[in-house]
Amino acid sequence: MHFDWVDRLDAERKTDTDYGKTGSYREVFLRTDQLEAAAQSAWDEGYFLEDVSVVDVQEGFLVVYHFDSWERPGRVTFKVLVPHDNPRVPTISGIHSGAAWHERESFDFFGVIFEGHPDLKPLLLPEDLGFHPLVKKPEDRAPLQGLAAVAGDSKEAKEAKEAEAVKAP
Amino acid sequence: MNVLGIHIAVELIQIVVAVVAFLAFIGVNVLVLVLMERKVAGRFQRRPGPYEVGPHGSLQTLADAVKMMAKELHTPRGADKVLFWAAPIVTFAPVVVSFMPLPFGPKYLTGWEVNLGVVLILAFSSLGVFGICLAGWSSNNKWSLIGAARAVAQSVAYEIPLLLSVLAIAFQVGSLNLTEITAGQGSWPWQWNVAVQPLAFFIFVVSMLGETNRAPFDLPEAESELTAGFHTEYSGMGFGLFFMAEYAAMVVVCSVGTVLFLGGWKGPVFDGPWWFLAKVYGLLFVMMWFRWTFPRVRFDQLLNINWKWLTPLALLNLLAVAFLVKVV
Amino acid sequence: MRPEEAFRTLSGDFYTRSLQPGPTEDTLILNMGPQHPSTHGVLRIVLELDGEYIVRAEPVLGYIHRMHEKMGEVKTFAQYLPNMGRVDYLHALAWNWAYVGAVEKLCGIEVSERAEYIRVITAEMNRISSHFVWWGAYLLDLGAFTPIMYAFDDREWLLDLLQIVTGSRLTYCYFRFGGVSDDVTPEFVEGTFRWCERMRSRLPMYKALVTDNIILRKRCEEIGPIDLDMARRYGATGPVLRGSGVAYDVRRAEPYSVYDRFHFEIPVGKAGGDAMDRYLVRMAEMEQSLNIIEQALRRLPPGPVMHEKAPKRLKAPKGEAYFAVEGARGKIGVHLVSDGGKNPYRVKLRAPGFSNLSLFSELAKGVLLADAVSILGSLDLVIPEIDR
Repeated sequence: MHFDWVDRLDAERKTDTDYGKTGSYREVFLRTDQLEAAAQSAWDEGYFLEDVSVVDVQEGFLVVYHFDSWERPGRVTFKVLVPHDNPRVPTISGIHSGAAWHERESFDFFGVIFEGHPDLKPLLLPEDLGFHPLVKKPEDRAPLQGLAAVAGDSKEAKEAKEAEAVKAP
Repeated sequence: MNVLGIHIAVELIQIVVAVVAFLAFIGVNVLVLVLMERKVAGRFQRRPGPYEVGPHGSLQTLADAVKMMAKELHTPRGADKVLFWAAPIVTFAPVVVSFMPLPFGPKYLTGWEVNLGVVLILAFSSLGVFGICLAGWSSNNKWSLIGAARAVAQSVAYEIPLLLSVLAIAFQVGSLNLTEITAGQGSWPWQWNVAVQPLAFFIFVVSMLGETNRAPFDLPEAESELTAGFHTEYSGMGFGLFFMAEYAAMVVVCSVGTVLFLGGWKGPVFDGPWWFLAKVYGLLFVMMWFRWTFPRVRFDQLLNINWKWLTPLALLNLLAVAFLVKVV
Repeated sequence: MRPEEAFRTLSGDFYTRSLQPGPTEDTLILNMGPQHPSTHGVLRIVLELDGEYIVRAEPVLGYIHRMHEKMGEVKTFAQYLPNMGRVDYLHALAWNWAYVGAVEKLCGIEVSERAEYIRVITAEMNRISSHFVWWGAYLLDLGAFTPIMYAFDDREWLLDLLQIVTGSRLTYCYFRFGGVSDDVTPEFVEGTFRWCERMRSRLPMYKALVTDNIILRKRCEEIGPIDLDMARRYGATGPVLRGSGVAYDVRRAEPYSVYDRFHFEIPVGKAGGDAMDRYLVRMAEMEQSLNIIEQALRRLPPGPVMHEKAPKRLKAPKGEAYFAVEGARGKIGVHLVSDGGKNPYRVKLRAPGFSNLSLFSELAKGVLLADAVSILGSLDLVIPEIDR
């Protein structure tokens, strides 16, 4: 469709996801240093930020960004995985101003620190609470694998796989 | 000395009697007016208004008055106690005096006939603003302060077209004495001053809404913005006094309007105080009608209306009247 | 301390003190809320005022935060359904739909056709009732005390109709996974047709009496203009976005249920939409909802209200799903993540009011206090939805 810009992103992995099953057309796994450029591309392509949320998995905190567009509707999901002991992600509130509040909420619930955020103080929870309520106990966490229903890889990943398969008989 | 002394004593007794009578009159009036406002409001909003207390809710205000007198008089922390409790009294007292020159009926039904009746009323109604200012300042509450600041600006502004429209009538009649102004009008509506000076009447009605802080000009007590404006912190009888002052001021300005424009106590048949009261209550009903129909005007728009429209119109009207009186 | 130092040490709580730099000699720090007649719920806004002009405005949230997202993790999928009615109680059926839709998407549950139509009818009726409350409350903020009474009078009839079929008046919990809980009765169908007729005769009266009133127009026109750049940066949706000229409606952009079978228009305002544009968009939306309701009622198919294959016991597979619906306030989204257990692993509720309110601090700079009240009313906020 019109997701060529996703294929051009500098990202760890891009996947085509089944809209009927997941509600999203593309899922993009990013490293923390690739996030800002990807958010900038989303802005340039006419997308707006729907929300920022965090899922607590065994491997760390999975920060999920949902983007959608007015002119060419179709959800695109960005995902960034950060470790539990150092949950730092750069902020995208310089590009998408609404992210300022979403990031404060994620900080409230999970303790994820958004570097460069103008004002990372509690939004919904009392400032003297002392803990982050939605962080799960380690025994309750699920592994990341399989949480995202992946229906198939993007074009370039498929080509890379085929190239591998040809190389190793 | 004796004649002068007796004369002064008689006048003093007359004034004291009049003040007491007017306090009673205001009390009864407020009872009736509050009920009228609530019933009128209810009917405009498709509901019956107070209904339970007394037949058709007629004893509701009495019950409310008793409740109000029984409430605790609470002073907010940090408020200036003296000024805080002086403010309602300073607001209420001048209104009582304003009732004096009004001619309720033909012969002896005037509190104290004064040659400068109009000026007396206008002067004392200006004092009411002082009380509002005190209330807003001494409450130690920023919202009250904003309400008080708005009230001062509004009252001072709307006095000018009020005065100018009243002066237009004074020019025409040639006197500031309210009894003489009433005498100069005839019995039928087309003989009242409103037929001669409709523009002045219109300006008067709008200014009287601004002067008494009634909707659509009720920003100083704008419920939805300032929580209650300058009287936020008052409870019990303090609030009761502000309430009474507001309704009494409404009666005063409507009475002035009746005397100046609508023929006072004169009517087609059977002249008397009943016509006066009927006309005053008619004007009051119109004021309530406005309140329950229109949204609130924003503050700068309110001042714009006054300075850019009402005052120039009132001045033009005055000049026209002066010219016509002198030439014609 | 010297007077100029006194200005720099603010009294007040954490949020008032963190408004840095503090007030100057000419400005005043004022708290609007959390108890305030015009903030529509427990919203607190820390204002720095210069006379009547707002220099800075910062909303402070959390006064009605009830941890719905945490509750989603400790309740089972079905036990969580009543929560959705309480998130935004004014358009509870849309939140019902967003959650039920997310679960159905995740588990691959189909919905019976009759239930789809019923969902459309009841959700649109709920939208109209929500817009009535908005309209009455907005005019109450602006000082007109009567329209709210008329609005609630019309709404009573509507609530009675919805009560016949859902059992509730406000916090509906009517949708189930695979359909709805109860069928509509002939009494409901007839009553709704009559109500639609009556509504069509009332809306022109409201336009003549209220919308065309010069005082209201002066309070709403050119107040709080939101340009497209601001709207996109903050993720504004719903009438706040459509008031600025963008015809983005989830019912057309990401069609769900049977909305693609109905003819309805998307009312928009002009570019640089002000409060009056948002007002007019919502009034026009009420008419469009009436169109949808009438079309759906006429074409209501027979059949069961729960799909035959809807599971009695829900077994959610591993995975995630995002489902969006068009609520009265904007785009409602539910992001559901499941690890195969009894309870959801993570429920993220995307509230439209959250994004709409976040643009207030930029929008309110340099605005009069009375205009700020007008702007807040035109954004149609329900704070429990924002705080969840």
